[in-house]
Amino acid sequence: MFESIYIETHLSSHPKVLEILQKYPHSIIHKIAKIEDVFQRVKKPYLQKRTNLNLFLGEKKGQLVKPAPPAYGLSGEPHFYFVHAYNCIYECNYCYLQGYFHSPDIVLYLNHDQIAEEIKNVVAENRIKCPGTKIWFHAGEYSDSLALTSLTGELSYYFKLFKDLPDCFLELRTKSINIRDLLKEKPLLNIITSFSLSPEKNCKENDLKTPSLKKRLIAIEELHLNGFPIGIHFDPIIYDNDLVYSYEQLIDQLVLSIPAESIRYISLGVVRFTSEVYQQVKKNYPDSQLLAQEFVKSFDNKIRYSKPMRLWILSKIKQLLIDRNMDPLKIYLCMEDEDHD
Amino acid sequence: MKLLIFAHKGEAQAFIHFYKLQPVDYFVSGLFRNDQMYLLISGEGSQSSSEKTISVLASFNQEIFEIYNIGIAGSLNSNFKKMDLIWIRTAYAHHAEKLEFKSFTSNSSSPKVDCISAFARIISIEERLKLSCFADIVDRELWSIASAANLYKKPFHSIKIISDDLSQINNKYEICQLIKDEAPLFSELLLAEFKSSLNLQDKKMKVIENSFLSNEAYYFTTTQKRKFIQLTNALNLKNINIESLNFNDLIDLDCLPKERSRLLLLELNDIVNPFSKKIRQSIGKAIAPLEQAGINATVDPNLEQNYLHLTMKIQSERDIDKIQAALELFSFTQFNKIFKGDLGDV
Repeated sequence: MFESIYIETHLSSHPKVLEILQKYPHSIIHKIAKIEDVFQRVKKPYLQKRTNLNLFLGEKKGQLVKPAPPAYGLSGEPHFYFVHAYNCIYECNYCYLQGYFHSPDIVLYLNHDQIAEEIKNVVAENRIKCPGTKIWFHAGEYSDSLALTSLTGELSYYFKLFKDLPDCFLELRTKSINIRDLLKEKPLLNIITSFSLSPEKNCKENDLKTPSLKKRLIAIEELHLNGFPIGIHFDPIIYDNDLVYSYEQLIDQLVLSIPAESIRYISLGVVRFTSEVYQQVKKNYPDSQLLAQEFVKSFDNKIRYSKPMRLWILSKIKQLLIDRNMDPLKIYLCMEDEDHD
Repeated sequence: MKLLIFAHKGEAQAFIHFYKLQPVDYFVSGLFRNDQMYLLISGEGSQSSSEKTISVLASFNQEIFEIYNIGIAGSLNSNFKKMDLIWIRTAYAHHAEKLEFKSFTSNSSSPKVDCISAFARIISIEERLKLSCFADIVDRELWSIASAANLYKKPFHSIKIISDDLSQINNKYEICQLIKDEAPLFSELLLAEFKSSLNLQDKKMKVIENSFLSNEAYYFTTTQKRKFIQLTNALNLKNINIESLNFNDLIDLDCLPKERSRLLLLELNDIVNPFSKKIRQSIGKAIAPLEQAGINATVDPNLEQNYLHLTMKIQSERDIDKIQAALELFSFTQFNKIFKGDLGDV
């Protein structure tokens, strides 16, 4: 899987490093002073992940916990994300990661103790600033939260941390079905595993190299039956002529795996790109149907469908969910201001 | 026209002969042409190739639409052996012991091999292993040529033939002599690869596009041409054959070619984006009372903001009455609903 593994020298004897190296005996090992000496030194095109993907193991420096962008998660509550990995093993053709880092190589940071300290500091600050509010942390801003957990094994660490932070929530956002390590943990009400779902046809066309919708739904059912709280993201929603029908089908399949009232929240987000990512999509996936659609530069300079189209899509899908007993208060729109004028 | 760039004449000789290319009287030497292509002998190394490529592109920018760098390269990877023909994916550079951050990815369809352009000739195994962290083969010119192509926004492609691999490390004089001796063979193999690669599908698309673009019934501005090509590509992605669409009504229409082109683009856009058609129709219905009163109502072209821009001519009291009546009939609430996504079933 990994052609080369680059390790920060001071971590050479770190137990996790040794464990990972045992799993990839054929990878070429390079010891480097720090990840930045090699990672992003040259602009490595995104699709090279298909043929020569490398792995970097190191320690994250600088700001470890950051405020999430506006309209991220349920409104009115502070949201933060922490960075423990860069890049993803999947290859969704709309993914913003293709325009974000200058390399598709996977970076895994191993200093979870420092990240945990930073999370505690943020909680302490926010308890003073906005007493009584719930604070959210998200783990999958630059990577899939579960896809590599069998390799990295950090879940038990965060379960221990959030057990002691009952007024805080952790969202593990994923398209993965790698739930083996998660099932080893005792479910916590404040750790929510959220799955990104699209109709089957869209999954096949756009969520390249990800588990099928069917498999994701099985994973959702298994976690739900084992008591793990579940969130759902219909994001990104990509328009096609059968949009309403295909989302009806999707929601019907979803509520067979987990009853609507048991879903903690559902976010809806229509496909969007920064200009740079849109250029990358054109370059990387020139035959994608996605590119046959009409996009405009929207209110925040992101490339989106026109506003009437976006709001039509969101209202239709929201209504489909409400028709199937989903509480409207649990549905939120991601990166879209419903009343934006 | 294509611009083909080679470092040495030896690598280019089969092309010059096959395409009957004639020298061009130009202020730098090594430029040839026929009615289909230019061919430039850039000389070896980044400085010479950069200078010559940029000067040719500056002089013949309007004629040249894509660039090919063709020539020999050394292998950095045991998978690539002498005489292997390789299409390049990404060009990197290593200048004076430093890596260039910028890389340039070619427009070829699916190559998987990267090339790093070195400032000096890379002979030793140590040097090759160092560069192998970043690329599979090494040359001296590609990055500079790709950089020039990027400057002029021209697509570029590159075909390389392996002239020396990891098992064959000689001193630089021996390698030079070997390469010189084998240049005619390298050139023939590169020519065969180049000829077989010319993409028939692209050619077909161009013919279809040209049947509209060169039709006197239409007149396309530069922006319209770009839009037309975008829409043709979008149709293609949706597996709709433009040849199967009937535009006879447009041809029979009594209007100026420029107006006909505008209507053609509108029709194509509606086929590609039926949702946009629905929005346009809804807006058209909402503003119909204004249009009927001779008021020209325009909306935000991106439909991001819900405003109307009205232009009208008042020449009499009657015009004012007409406008007032139209404004009373017009419902901004109804218009605004469109921007809230209230479009009914689409």
